[in-house]
Amino acid sequence: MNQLFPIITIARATAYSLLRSSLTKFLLSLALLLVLISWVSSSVDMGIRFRLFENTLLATQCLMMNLLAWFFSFDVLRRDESEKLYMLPLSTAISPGIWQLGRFVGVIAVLIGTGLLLLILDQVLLLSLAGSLPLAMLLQLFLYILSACLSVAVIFCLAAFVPVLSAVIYAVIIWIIGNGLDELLLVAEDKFGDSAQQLSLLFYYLLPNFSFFDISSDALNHLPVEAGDALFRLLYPGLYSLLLVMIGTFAYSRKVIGK
Amino acid sequence: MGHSTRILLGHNGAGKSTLIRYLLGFYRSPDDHPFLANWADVARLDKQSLGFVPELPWLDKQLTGWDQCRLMAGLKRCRLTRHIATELLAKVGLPDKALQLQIKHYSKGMQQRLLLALALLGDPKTLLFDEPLSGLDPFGHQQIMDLIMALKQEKSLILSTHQLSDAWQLADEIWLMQSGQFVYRGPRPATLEALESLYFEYPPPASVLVQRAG
Repeated sequence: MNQLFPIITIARATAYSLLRSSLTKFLLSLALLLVLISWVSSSVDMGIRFRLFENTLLATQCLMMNLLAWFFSFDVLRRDESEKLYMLPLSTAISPGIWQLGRFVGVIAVLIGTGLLLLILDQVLLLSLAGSLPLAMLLQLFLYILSACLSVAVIFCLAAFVPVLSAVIYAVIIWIIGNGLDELLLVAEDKFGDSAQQLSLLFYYLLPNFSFFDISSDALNHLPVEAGDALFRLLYPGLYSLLLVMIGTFAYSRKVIGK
Repeated sequence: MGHSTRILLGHNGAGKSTLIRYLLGFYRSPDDHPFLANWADVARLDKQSLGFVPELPWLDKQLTGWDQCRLMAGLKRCRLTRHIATELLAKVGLPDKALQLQIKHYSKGMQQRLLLALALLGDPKTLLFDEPLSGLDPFGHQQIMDLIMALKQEKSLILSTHQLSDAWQLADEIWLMQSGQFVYRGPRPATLEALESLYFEYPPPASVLVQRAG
């Protein structure tokens, strides 16, 4: 509880700094432009009304949320690394771990805020065009926000061990692999032996599994959402991120400052 | 207890900045730096009542002066209002409109003043300066020097510098370093010339010069 106030203070400064960055403004404008393009495409009839709109909307939101996650994390951590922005705060009584935790919370706050704004915009457009709000669509859009949060946690954890640019590159690779883990498990079950199945199962649960966040086919077909399944998908990123942040914070607190 | 001003002197690479990091508690174990073994008798500073002014403007340039003040006040757990911030800025010679301005629009002198204002937040007992006068023009140099001279009456200061005349003006005590070791720790010599003679007795060792030439 005693450490909560400095974490909030650091998070607030991080959020202000991110929101004032011109590249953030550019990315947010790009996100809005992509929503607009999706909206324009809504007039194209593909048999099922607004299917193309929903399809492009999901694709663009998935892309934008992850772009924002990678950019925000890179921007904050790179400036810490190159401009030594932690030196002055660490001359007070706070620990390096608290600093890093505050930075993480700041990035997550901006990411969730941005994601929720886009989600509301998407929902308003869907409601005005289609006249209904499919729950699976809402859940999918929200899962993209959580997926982006997990990407941030991966980057913050990796950045405690490797340079920031490498951490972001590895995180992008992990995201690509993580999105294919469900297919990997299926292929292993269908085509290969027991050992390959065990190995793919290990990857499935051990690596950050971004395929848990993809329910786009359910969303596009407006299928009902199972409560247990939805709860698992919502809790998974929180627990996994917590683990990554704990590892990252511990590793960061062992570093020699300002070397 | 009276306030004392200690000046850290020494050639480049003597360990002044490393000592400042040690005083700030940035090193976790004696193995973190080869110089640390020499400073076993030097106590780290109490960070609850400390203001630090670094050599370089390690400030988030995207933030405004007010944001940066709020960040540091929050971390120092001290009360901050616009009025307090304005008064603090006035004390270091910054106009109150600097609070609204993003730090990327500040000049080098303004950034140095803001660093000083941030160090003064929470009214610390001790101020630690790492070459606060480097890179300033003669006007900026004189203004910051005047500010430090004024603070000397109110607080304990520890300051590293390469300017012997500044050192002599400010010091009550001189800590002269060579290759991570204290070669002199005592009262300020009686004259500037005496300080210069003392300083030049301890040039950088040949190994440091060779490293620099390489």
